[in-house]
Amino acid sequence: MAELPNLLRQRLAATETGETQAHPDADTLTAYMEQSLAPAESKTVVAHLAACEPCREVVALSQAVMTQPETQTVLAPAPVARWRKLFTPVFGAAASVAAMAVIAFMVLQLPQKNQQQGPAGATTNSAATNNPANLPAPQPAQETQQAKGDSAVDQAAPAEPKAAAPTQQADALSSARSDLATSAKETEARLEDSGRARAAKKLASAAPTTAAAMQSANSPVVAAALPKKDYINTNFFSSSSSENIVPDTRTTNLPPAPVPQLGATNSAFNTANNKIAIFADLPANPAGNSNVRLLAPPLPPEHLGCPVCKIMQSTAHTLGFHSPVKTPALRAGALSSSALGGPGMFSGAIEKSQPAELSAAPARADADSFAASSSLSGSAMAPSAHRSDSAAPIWKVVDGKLMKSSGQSQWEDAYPVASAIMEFSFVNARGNDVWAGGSHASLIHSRDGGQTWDTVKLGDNASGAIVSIIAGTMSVQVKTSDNQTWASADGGKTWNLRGQ
Amino acid sequence: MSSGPRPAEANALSLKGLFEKSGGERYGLTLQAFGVVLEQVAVKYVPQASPQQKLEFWRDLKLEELALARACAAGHDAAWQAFLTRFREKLYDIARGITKEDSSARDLADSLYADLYGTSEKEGRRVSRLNFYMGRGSLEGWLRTVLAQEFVNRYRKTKRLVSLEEQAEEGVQFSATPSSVPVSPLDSRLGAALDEALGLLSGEDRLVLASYYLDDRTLTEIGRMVGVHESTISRRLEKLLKGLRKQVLAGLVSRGMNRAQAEETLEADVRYLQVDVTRKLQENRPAAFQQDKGSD
Repeated sequence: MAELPNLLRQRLAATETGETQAHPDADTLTAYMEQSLAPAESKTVVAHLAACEPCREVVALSQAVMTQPETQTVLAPAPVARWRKLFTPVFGAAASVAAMAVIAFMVLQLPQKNQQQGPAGATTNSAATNNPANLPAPQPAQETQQAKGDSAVDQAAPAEPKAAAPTQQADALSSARSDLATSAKETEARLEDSGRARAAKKLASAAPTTAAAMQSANSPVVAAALPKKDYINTNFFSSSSSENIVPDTRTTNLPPAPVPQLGATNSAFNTANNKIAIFADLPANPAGNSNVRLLAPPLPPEHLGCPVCKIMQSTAHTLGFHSPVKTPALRAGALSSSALGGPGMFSGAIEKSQPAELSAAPARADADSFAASSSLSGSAMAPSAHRSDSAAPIWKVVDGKLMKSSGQSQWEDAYPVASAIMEFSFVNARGNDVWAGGSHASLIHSRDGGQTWDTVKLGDNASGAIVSIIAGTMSVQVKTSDNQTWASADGGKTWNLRGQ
Repeated sequence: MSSGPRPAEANALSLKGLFEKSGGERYGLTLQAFGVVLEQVAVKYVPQASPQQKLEFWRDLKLEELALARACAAGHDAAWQAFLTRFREKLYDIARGITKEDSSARDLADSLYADLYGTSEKEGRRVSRLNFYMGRGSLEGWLRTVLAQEFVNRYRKTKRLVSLEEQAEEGVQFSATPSSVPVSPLDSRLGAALDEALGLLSGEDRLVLASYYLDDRTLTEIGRMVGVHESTISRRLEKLLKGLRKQVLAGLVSRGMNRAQAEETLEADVRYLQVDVTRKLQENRPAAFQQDKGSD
């Protein structure tokens, strides 16, 4: 379209009026510039201006120096709509605060919602919702149903339905149940109503890792009692932690877990988690309970006392709104187990219960390796037994004798008949499940904390003194001084020689 | 029997009211002299108007400034004192705004001041330029316009009366002789089509086009001249150009061309038009105006 302006200039110039046409006088031009002319007269002036260049120049020059109209005084502010008056600075600040509160609420509650939306949570919810009358004191069956879907805490719930299991497991369960009952009673004694009993039962059910480990092969062995914090990935702890640590007992070539030394354990505490180091330095509890129990999340007293809070608590439990504080992802029982005895066991549990450890190599943290670390309680860690639970015996081997202490610093020979036959070299105790070995590949096993002993025969060609016992739920691995490794997957009934 | 005043009496009452409103008595004017002035104004602008229409026309005038100007023209000292007090400095400021230069501004303002006072005599009486003020616009605006007109006239005269020395300085003697080759005449059909399209435009649209394409005014200047915002002028120019092109093409087609020929004619003639338009613009525009453009 560049050609048209040139054409236009030419034709417009051709239509310019000559000098002969009468120009508007100064009055009319002034009136036109001041817009005081009538419309008809104004059109006439405009038409003349369109064709008269001198008059356009006059108008342009005159308007260029025209005094700009003074600013008119506004007598009243412009009317503002009523709804616009709401948008005051105070309203804006309040709206900002409200928005931030909503965002904070959503950020804090979203992980919990995701947790309860999982299939496990749905099972728990349905179970609890279907039996609202049983909420204060849930029946064992209900507990079992809940245990199927819940996280590690619920998986260690009392296993009454498992009573129909094979006899061997029933035995193991009985011992576990007794241990569980011991812990549960301690908690229940502090709780008055059924709500407290429920919370205590959950805590207690999570307590004995031995019972939990014996319950099934998929039961988590490593568990701790770190309360969930908001900055922790709760989804991982609640839904994945137990599965990640599930030992695969069928895998027989797993390397044993490294046996931590005392010094190394302490350094691990210091480097892995400062909080755990603080807990490890706690003095003994005057009540005789395990100090490690302090790691278990404390129950808010206000939620235990008033009935309203109790109802709200049970309702929240039914709906799956587990409080991050009340739902430890790592079980307290792993740390409060009296059978684990010495701090070496404690340290081993703690090391594996750290979130970083779990996330870094959860698949390697199997039950056997865990038990390997727990074997420290046999001898080396015995002097620190005062930190353990007073209800569980503590074992050690001294001068070829198997010694047992009930926590009163009084040691007794736990297997006096062996003095003439064998010389003990190693003991492994997990609760009331005690394995002890000595010279000539001798191995004895007690399921009742040393009350009764069974002699276990490894194999015809077993030789050497037993130097290591790694006991899991049903799997036991024994090493002798002749570099023989015997393994049993059925609790010691049959043994296979793995390597020599 | 009749209760109301007769038309002549009503006119007299209204005239008296207008005189009182003008405050002409302060400047030494009489009611009769003021009535003559109003009648003079009505004869010039609304000669065929009825007394009532005249009265309405008078009411729209700047009566107070009209009385002041005519009192000054009549030589009343009180009026001159009031005029000088109100407009003396403004006169210089306006001149400075027009000429963009102090000495020229003072020269221009003094010249107008002499005309306002009346240096020439006619039939034994001084002829003041203030006698031509009719009160349709403000006195200050009228002074501004008169100054602008004086400025334009002065430089148009200057352009015509160029001395031989100045022509030599400008190199007129070395200018190329007009080419013997005639410039290809513009296609008559194209000119007719464009004239037809321009004739269909309103006066304001043509004013906008002329101010933009002929005078090279800025959008702000054109907007001020027309009384709209500059952005409106920009949009209007674009719209006008599109409409003109469409109408010119339609006019060419209606005059026997096909579409391709019409577009080719529109583009081909540009080469001749560029020379022609430049020459045309240089002929009709004072050099001083072009200098003023740069200051805006």
